[in-house]
Amino acid sequence: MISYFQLVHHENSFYDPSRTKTTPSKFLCLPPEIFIQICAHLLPKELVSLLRVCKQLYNELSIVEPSSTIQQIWKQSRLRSMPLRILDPPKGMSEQEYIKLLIETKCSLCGTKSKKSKIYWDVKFRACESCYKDGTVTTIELLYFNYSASKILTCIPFTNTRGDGKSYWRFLVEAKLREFESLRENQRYHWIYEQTKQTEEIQNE
Amino acid sequence: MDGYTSNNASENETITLKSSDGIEFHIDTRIANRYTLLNNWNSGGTYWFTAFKKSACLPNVTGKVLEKVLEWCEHHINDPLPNYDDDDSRRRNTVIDDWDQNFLNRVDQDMLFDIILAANYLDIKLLLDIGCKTVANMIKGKSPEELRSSFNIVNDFTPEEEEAIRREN
Repeated sequence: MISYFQLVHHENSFYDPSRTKTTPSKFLCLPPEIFIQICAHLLPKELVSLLRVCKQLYNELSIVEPSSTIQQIWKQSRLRSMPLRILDPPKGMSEQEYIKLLIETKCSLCGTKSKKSKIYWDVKFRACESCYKDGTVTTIELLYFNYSASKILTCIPFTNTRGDGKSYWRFLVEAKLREFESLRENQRYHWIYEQTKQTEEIQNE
Repeated sequence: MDGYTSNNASENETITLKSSDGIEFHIDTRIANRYTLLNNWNSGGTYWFTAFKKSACLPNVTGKVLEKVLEWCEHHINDPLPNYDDDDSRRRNTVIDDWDQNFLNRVDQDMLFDIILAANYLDIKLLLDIGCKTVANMIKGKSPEELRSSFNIVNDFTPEEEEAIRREN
């Protein structure tokens, strides 16, 4: 008897007239191909407004697989708003992150907004002038103060964005050194070889 | 679409479309011939169309919506057939002419979405394109909150999630 009652109760709640008041949004019920066709007309900042609306839109617009249609949509919107940025994002970076990096003026390290901030592609973030000065060392400084780093110099990605020779990010140098020193003697040669290859790839990009 | 020129249907010939709620529309064969899906039905592409004497049931489209779609088709009956070779350039360069703008502005939002769905189902590409562009124009320049109220969407983020997303974008 109890189960019968529950069933009836359940059915009643299904036909509850108050439920029909909260009709699901027609916009959210559109089939994916139409949703995509609508998004294809939007600029990056409009796509961002859209993904902040609700969870469903956030999830749909956050797909990061490089081959997905959503990435194509972000790419198209990037090309429309910044026609000069024709290069694809570097390996391992989604279109959304790439666009964010290109648009923002905020320094990723200290958070201050500055027109003079620049993008450092080797580390894939944006830094203002003072953070850059504090955070990097030149080749000569590096060799002078930290002799052990010379052994792994080819493994560290460098920047010469500001046109004053190669500079290295301190935190990268330290991380790579720690990694290097944690290895046993016989593994080090192979590690250097692999890391050099990776660094060259990053540099070429 | 090649069949269009070789098809010398007389002007008075009509076919019948029946909406999901049972309303019948007699439409000019020239309209049917312009659109791939309708055209397929008309030239006997699917057996059931001919079997039912040139009438077709559209289970997904209501009479009110079908009436609107056919009104649009009738207005565009003499337009030159567009070239659908390149999907991308077609979408990017979609221009909405004044009549279409007026046509879509007169309908409410639910009807606009119904028209888009019907155009998609009936494979009427140009109507689908201008419909999507109209929706895109409704999105442009709106804040997330304005988008929610204009599309009747409930904000299901917690305040913390909302803050996190605001910060990351």
